Amino acid sequence: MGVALSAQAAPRCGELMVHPGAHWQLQGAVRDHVASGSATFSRMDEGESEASLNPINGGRAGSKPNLAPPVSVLLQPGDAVLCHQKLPHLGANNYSPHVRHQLYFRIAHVALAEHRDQWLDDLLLPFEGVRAAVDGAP
Amino acid sequence: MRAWANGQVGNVVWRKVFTDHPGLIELFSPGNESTLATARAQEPKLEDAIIRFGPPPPALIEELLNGRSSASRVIANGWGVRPNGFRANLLARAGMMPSPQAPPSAAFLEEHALSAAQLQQFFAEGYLVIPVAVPTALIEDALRHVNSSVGRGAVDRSKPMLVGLAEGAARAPELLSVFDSSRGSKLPTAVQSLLGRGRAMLPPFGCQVAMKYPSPGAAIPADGGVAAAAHGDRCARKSSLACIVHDVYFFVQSTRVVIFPTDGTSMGSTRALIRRSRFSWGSP
Repeated sequence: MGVALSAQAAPRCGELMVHPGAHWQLQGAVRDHVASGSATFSRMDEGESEASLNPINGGRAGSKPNLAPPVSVLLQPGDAVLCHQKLPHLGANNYSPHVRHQLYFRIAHVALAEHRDQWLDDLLLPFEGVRAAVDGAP
Repeated sequence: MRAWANGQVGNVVWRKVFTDHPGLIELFSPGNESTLATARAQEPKLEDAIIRFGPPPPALIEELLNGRSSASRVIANGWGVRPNGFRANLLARAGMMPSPQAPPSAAFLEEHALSAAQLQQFFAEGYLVIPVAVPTALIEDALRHVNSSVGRGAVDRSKPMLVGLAEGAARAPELLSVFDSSRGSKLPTAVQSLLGRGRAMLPPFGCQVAMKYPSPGAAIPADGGVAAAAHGDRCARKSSLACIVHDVYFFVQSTRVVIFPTDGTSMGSTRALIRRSRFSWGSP
């Protein structure tokens, strides 16, 4: 959970960016990857470096999942953003003249320890309220 | 002389431990001997600390329990000592997990409950913005504490361009008060709307204060500044895109995804782990 202490009204002011819905996409990718037993999603051959693989340098991107462009989460002081803990996210650089102030809290479910090894199969495990809403329960 | 030195070191070490983990103080208070014995048997780090530094001095325990130390600030805040990760795990193992009932300041208020549409959005997109979730007065208190801490030098500068507060300062009541529903915060209700009523550990034990400083230049690069962030320049750090899947951190970089087990490591130590074990894989 992020709580804005300063205004983040325009893109590239150090704001949080997210890939909406990509946690669902990655869940399948991770499950397949775990099943494959491979060491990494992407492979670095002998003689290759991180820089040489970078698409900006003309390199291949490997088999990294394509998460589509991220979306800026623009906030005003007092606004909050709630994120699923598996949602791919990043921080934009800050090209504004101001310091971006934000608080981030990690919220724990009371049964966190019991959920620890079940994430791969159920991304909604601790989200009982969300599950009830999606399933149409009262 | 050596015993004296060890005693002095132990006092300093235990004070630091209790400052970082206020819930542990209770473990050493009179009457909790059996719980402490269980903890020593189940938590090697605790047992090791007691062997190396001796048990915490009784005077220190009394001082902290009487609220004369920074470690007791949470108590003074009126929310009581909430079990931290270690304490919660310990209580869970011993079948002594506290009641999930939310404390008064984290009460669920119907008027702040998330709508069905908001819950659906969180389900589909994985995130949700709540406008005006925290009243201005609480935000100003928090910002005042942050800026005051920065002025006093209580900062963590381990990440270039992303300055944080030192660990103790990041657990101050002024920051945790943004969760105070009795002062108009919507956060406790919003969180419980997602996790279920009384199913969240509230208020949290601390937070990350993230101050992102401006880049040297104002010109946004042709790639929009996103590629620069995602590709790891000095401003944005190496691993800018991270998510956690099945207790595994994914660091999605410009060229690959590195996977390794977290084992409860913090993000800071995780970055160090990346440098040591790039391309490694371990069972989650």
